[in-house]
Amino acid sequence: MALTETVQPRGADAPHATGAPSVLVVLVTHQGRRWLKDCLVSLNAQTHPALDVLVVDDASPDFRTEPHLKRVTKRHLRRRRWAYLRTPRALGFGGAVNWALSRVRTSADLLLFLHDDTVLDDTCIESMVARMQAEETTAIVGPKIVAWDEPARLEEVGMAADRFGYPYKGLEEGEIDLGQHDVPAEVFFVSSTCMLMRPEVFRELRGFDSRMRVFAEDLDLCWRARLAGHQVRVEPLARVRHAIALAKGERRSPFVPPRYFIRRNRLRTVAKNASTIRLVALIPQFMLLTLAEMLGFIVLRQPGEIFNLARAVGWNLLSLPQTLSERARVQRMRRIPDRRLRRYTVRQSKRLHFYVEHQAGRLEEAWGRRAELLAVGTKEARALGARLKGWPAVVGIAALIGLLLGLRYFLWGPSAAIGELLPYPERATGLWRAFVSPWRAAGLGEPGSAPPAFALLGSVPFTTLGLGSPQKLLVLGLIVVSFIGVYRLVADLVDRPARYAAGLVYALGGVGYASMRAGELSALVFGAVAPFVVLFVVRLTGWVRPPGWSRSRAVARLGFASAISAAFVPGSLVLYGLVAAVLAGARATFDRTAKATAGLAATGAGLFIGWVLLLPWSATWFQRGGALARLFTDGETYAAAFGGHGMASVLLGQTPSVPPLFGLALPLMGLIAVLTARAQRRRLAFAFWGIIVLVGWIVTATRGGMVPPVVASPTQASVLAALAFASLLGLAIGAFRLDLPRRGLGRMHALTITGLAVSAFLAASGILPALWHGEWFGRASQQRNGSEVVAQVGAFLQAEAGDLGPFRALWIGDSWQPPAPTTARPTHDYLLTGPRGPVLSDLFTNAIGPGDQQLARALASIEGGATDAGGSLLGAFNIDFVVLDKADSIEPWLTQRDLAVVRTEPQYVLLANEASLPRAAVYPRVPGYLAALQSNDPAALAEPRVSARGSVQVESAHTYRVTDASGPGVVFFAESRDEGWTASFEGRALAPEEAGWASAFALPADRGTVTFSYRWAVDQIIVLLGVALLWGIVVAAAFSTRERTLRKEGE
Amino acid sequence: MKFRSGEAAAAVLLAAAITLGLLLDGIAGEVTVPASPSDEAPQLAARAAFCPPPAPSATTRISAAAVGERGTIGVGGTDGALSSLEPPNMATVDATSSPLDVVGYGGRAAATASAAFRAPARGVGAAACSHLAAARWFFPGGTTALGYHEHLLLYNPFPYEAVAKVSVFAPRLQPAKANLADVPVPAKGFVPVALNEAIKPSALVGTVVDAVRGRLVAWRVVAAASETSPEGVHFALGATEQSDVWYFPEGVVADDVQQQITLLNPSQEEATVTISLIAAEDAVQPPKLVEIGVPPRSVERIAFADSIKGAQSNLGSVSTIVQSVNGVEIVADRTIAYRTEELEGVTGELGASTPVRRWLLGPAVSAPGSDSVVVMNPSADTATVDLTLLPSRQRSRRPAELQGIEVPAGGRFKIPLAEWTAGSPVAVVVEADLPVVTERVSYSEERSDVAALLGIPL
Repeated sequence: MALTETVQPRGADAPHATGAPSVLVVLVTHQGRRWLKDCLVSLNAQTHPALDVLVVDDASPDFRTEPHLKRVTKRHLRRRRWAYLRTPRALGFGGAVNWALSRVRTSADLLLFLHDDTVLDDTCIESMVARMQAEETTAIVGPKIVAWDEPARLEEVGMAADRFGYPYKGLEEGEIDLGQHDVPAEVFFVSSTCMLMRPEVFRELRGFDSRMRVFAEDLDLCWRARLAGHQVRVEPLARVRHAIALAKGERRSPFVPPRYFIRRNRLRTVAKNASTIRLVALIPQFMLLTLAEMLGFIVLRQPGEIFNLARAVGWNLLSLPQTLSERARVQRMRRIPDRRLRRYTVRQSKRLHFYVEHQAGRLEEAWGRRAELLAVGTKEARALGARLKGWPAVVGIAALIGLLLGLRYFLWGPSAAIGELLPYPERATGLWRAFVSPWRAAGLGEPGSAPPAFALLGSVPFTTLGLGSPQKLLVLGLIVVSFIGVYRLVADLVDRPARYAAGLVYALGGVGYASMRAGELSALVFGAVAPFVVLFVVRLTGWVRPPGWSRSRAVARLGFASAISAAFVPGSLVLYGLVAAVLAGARATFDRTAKATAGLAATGAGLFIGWVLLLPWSATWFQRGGALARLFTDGETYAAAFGGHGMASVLLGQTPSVPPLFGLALPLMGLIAVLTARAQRRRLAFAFWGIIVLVGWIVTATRGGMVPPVVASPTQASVLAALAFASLLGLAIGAFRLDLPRRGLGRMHALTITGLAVSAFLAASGILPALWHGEWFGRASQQRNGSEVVAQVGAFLQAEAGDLGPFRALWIGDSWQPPAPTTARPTHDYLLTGPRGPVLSDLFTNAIGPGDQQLARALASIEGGATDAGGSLLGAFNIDFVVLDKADSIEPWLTQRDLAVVRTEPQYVLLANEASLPRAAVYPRVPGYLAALQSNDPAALAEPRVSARGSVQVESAHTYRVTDASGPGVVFFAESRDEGWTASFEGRALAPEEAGWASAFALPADRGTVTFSYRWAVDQIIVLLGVALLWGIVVAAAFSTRERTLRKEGE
Repeated sequence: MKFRSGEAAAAVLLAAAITLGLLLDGIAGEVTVPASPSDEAPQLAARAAFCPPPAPSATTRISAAAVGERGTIGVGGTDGALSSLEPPNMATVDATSSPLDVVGYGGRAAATASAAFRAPARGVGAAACSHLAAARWFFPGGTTALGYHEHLLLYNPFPYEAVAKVSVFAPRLQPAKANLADVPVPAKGFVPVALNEAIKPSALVGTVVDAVRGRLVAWRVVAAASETSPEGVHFALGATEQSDVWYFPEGVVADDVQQQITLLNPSQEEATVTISLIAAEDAVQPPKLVEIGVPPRSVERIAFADSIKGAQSNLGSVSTIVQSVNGVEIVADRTIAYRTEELEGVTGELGASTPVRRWLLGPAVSAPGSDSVVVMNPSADTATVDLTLLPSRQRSRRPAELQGIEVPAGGRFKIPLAEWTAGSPVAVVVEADLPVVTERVSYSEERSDVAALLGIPL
């Protein structure tokens, strides 16, 4: 008796009496009506006599499925005993088999697991049973699988896998079956399409891994069987046609997307079944492979795949405890070491070859899709062109001309070098390398978490493909993003002209004007992102919610956007929180039933996500020298920059600094918005005024030293006020166009029209002259000269670097300093750079180490006239050149007897330091300069200079090499001292020596190469990968296509 | 325009918040930028005094004194330190072929150079080592007349070649020309410039050395071997700045001493200068020394023998104050030719432009026969002066006789030192309770020449 009494068997009543082993076919079907009939017919026609069939419907969604299946089964399995089960919910193939067998007590000698989209040759099961019986150790037998429509084409003859669990068929694409694989071979695994298995082994292995749902459950089962000492074979005489309906997307499945399940389950399979040693070796390889795949998907423009990958890793991390428990069980059953399975797996090179071929195909396919998309895009562009005829085109062109005019000194000059607006590093990957490096090479060098701003800024050079100036693209991009942000912020409340006006005023207005003049890149980014953050807060607090709006998606988007602005302005999170409180408070004031608290909590969650996305850097904000701690400890320095700003200047639109008349137009428009608008527009106008007043309070309190600054400058503090004013302007125009016509003709018309006219006049009077004079890049000619000087000096220093090797350059004077203090640059009045001159990767240095303090004292000694041996003092820091701004008092510098004047220009003087120590070299003893600095004892400077030996090569920011080093002596390394630095001499570790601020190691009496390297911390790598994964998850959650679909459906 | 209750509440709240914010705006002050912490930290003091290289045909000794309250000094050539000294102390070192830098590490160092010349004239001279390298040096009273040899010693203490341009200034209506437009001075090296070879013989030339590139230190050596003048040498560090007042503590108005004041006006305006004398107790104003015109870009020499007549012609020891009364800044130097029973020889020195309270006076000659310090008090009150002696590599001394010396207001005082110096080189630190000007005058019997040295302000 093959079936139990729990499920009543139907069909033929008599038990099998042939002596042949009985086989229970577990046929799992899910929405498989299209193929099931053929499958049942083929089962009915099997030559194997003792065959029962258990049809398991894996919760097919159609309510008519059950009677239909029973009917079809009954009709086509007349010769067989059969039973029918339906799972309560979709469990996937493995889960359905496990579930069905847990409800059926069977005495069958063998179990056959079968997909519903298969057709078996008549002798198929007989052949497989014969193979199974041929050897006791064989536990699983699979057939030869061919294509459904084209039986001559091979699909599978057993499978191999690589160490990561990627399956390998060993077949050519579309390979014809000519009997070339007709060998009953032992294989690594067979697919669950048609799998004959001994029931005792199935029970021993506790069946399929039901958590896998679909895909890779067969690999896992076979792998476990193999580890338990059983064999898996393929029987070529047994042939099955397979439609591969799920993988080809020919049937719906609750388990989508397939790639997610495939990746997820493979990872789980490897985690469960690989030996511990192999697993330890596989984890870093897997991480690298994952990153490489992510990069590949970026190239393929398939962000969804990145999400799948990240989601798969995330699922496995969440399931780790359960996986480890399973793994412990599997490993307890292990009888076979991994090395004995090696011959059934594929080599990495073969697998790589296959993978590359596969991805190349996908790339081709992706480009094909791209071409289609381009064709669609061209049509859309034509349609857009048609729509743009008329006033929008005129306004757009005028705005573009204005933008180009205002920024002409920036756009057509050399790369700007003012404040934080510095040129990009020479290599396109420079910022990314700085981001992932464990050692910050900027300044005197420092360990620490890489600022995520580098990762964000580093993506810009790739968009230009190395052509043009990424800095200019960045600024233009931020201005365009600002426009789009405000356009979208007011889009739900006003019509298109009002949106355009609001966007233009914000993009051309205060933030861009003040930021560009002061080189406040942080404020520019903050200004570009803030409209989106406020938009999400507005939606979360219930002011406006478009169709298809999702709270969780809005929270994810808020987290994503706030992370970007906080990567540059950490205090922006605080400001966003306060703005959310104002919006929620206003919402509660106007609508007492509104659940503003929930919106506030959701905003808090989004801001927290933003903070988490910036880990581990964000964890250092309050540490000494951290981005926020610096604001608090140097509060007076930052607060002094708020001088002249306060509530009045914010209310009058003069903070951030703008052309005065232009600023005055903004509050006027704000008043019109409140007075003219109706309903939600008016209420939101009140809320925006609340934001302006909040900013006024913050600026006033910061200026007076009543609260510590949360942001570095009044421009950053007033970004949200500028945004609120621009939104009010949009609301005012919207009210004029939408609300005013509904009122009766009267005073309000006169008032509104007069107000708008005056505002337009003030705005035009303010902004047009500023545009004409190109004031968007500050005192244009002066700053242009400064940028040219930086470029000129940079070119000279780079040429010198070819001869001198790595060195530092010291820039002294106001021309190289930001006009206002920023958190991205240390507040001291000098700039320390490499030969390239100031670049973006010089930002975000803490500059608080002992070396920085000693350097500051050395500079004070020089500028105070206490010393004329400045070259020796600076030489200890590997400072080979000093660039003096001639506008400053340079007299003390010119009396330094060990600094040579190598160039005198109208704007600057360049001094060369011949007393400089190389970045790394060997000395008989530690040079006296260092002791002088360390002990504040100038007498040590009197020590005769010792000459250096060996030449230094820079491998990377965290690896240096000194060739031709000959001992005995001391090898000195001019990077900030840190325990992470190690030195090795021909593979032998060197003992550290005291050398003040820098590192030194004792060198034995020998000759060879010394290597300095900063050790990678494993936790740092894991955190970086974790954060990358988190970014992937948040991005995927924030920008999933579901909302678009829902919106379209709504429309 | 109608407001609902919620809107009215919001308007009231906003108005209140704005009013309070404006009030706060009005009363809140502004935070000022604090001083940088590095400005308050102890500084790494290490400044050099640049000493002259040996003049041609001369032996030069450098006397370096540590005069700060702490730190050490190092005396070294370009290749490294030669010796070090704890304050207060003094050491003498023979100058080698390369220039010497005296560096005070953590404290103040000062140095002077005394040179004994063999040719073209025998004599001694002393000059201060410079605390700075400058772009311009002034030398008012030179000469390339027959029997006189003038050299400029140009020293470049920096590690980069400098280029100098030497301009010559002549008395009114006399053309001056020199082929010294581009004189290269090697890095950390020196160049002697023989003016006699560059310009035609001239009784009076003023020179200005401009560093076209880099910065320099410049000294002048004038050797007098003329029949009309006592044989001797004067050796002086140039002036780096013009001033409207110059002080010369030492001076003599007598029949057997010829004192001359030379005025250099490098500016484009005529300077009007008045020269006043301070005798033992009174100020004297010779009528001919009032409002002397010095044309632009020229030099003017005033010989006391020609300008002071009558009763004033035998005032004896005097101090001299040279003052530009129309604000045009000038440079002044003084030469004295002694041919008395006690002294014979010549001295030449640029004046001091600023009185201070503390001076260092290095040894003017290595073995002085007579040695004295002259203190001039240009202030309106009596100054009290203390002298500290710094013998070479010995402990400093403060003899009671040299303490509490009073110098009358607007007067001068000459303090003989031979009793304490006893023919050996001794540096002297002069400390006064009021700003004064000091000068040392020494006579070398061996060389039969007088050397004068103005103090180095500390």
